Amino acid sequence: MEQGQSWGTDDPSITAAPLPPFERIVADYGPLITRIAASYEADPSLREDLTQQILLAVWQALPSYRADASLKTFIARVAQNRSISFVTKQVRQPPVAELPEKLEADMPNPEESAIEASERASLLEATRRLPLPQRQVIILVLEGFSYPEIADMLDIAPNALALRLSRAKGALKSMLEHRP
Amino acid sequence: MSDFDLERLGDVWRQQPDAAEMERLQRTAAAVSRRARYSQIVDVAAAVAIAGVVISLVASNPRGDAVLMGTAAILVLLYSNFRQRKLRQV
Repeated sequence: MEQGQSWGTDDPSITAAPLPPFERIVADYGPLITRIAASYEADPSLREDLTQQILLAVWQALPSYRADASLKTFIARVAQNRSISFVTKQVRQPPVAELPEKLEADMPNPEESAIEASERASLLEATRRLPLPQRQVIILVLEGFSYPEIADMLDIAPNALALRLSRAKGALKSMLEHRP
Repeated sequence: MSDFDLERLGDVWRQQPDAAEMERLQRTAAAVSRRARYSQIVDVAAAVAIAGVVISLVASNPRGDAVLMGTAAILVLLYSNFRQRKLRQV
């Protein structure tokens, strides 16, 4: 349900459905939270910490959800904000870490999956190297949000978003092309 | 890099975590929500207890200034509780 189904709407005439239970929200949007946490924190134990903080922030923020955006957008916004304050508090750039072990373990189809996992790991690593403002944008694009949604989430003008995205794409492309 | 490339990278990016990772996430979420509920209950209980103490102190000494101070203390308590909750939601 992660893609497509949304609990909120931009149309005020449509009545929003009641919020699903927290466990269901985690089941639906857990992968999104995991990916956002992974793109901000490379260290596995700190990442676990960050994931917990995001889950807590989502739990605490849910009563303020007003369905003026989709639940996915709301959760991504909370996760991004929490991740940024987490890495800011660490007072360091997240290390360009060892690749997450899990990505290369537990693979059902060794050859094909290994290529996919390696590609995903490279992408994750390259994303972590981006400066925070560019990283924010590229993560949301990769998560499938539209440009107007991203501009709204980050509270920036479309022009500024286009500029940031263009820089992020350039940097990402260069890193992915020059990977070992 | 064209948007097409980004779309393909998006597909790579959005691969679902494996079942074990999801199970771990669910366990973490359950623990987090339990802790959050518990601390919410503790917050409310502490506020009620403090308000109770203030009310009983005022009742045992029902002078105008005591009533005024007691009311102010309870209002500050309510405001800080409300504000804390609002801040957590940001």
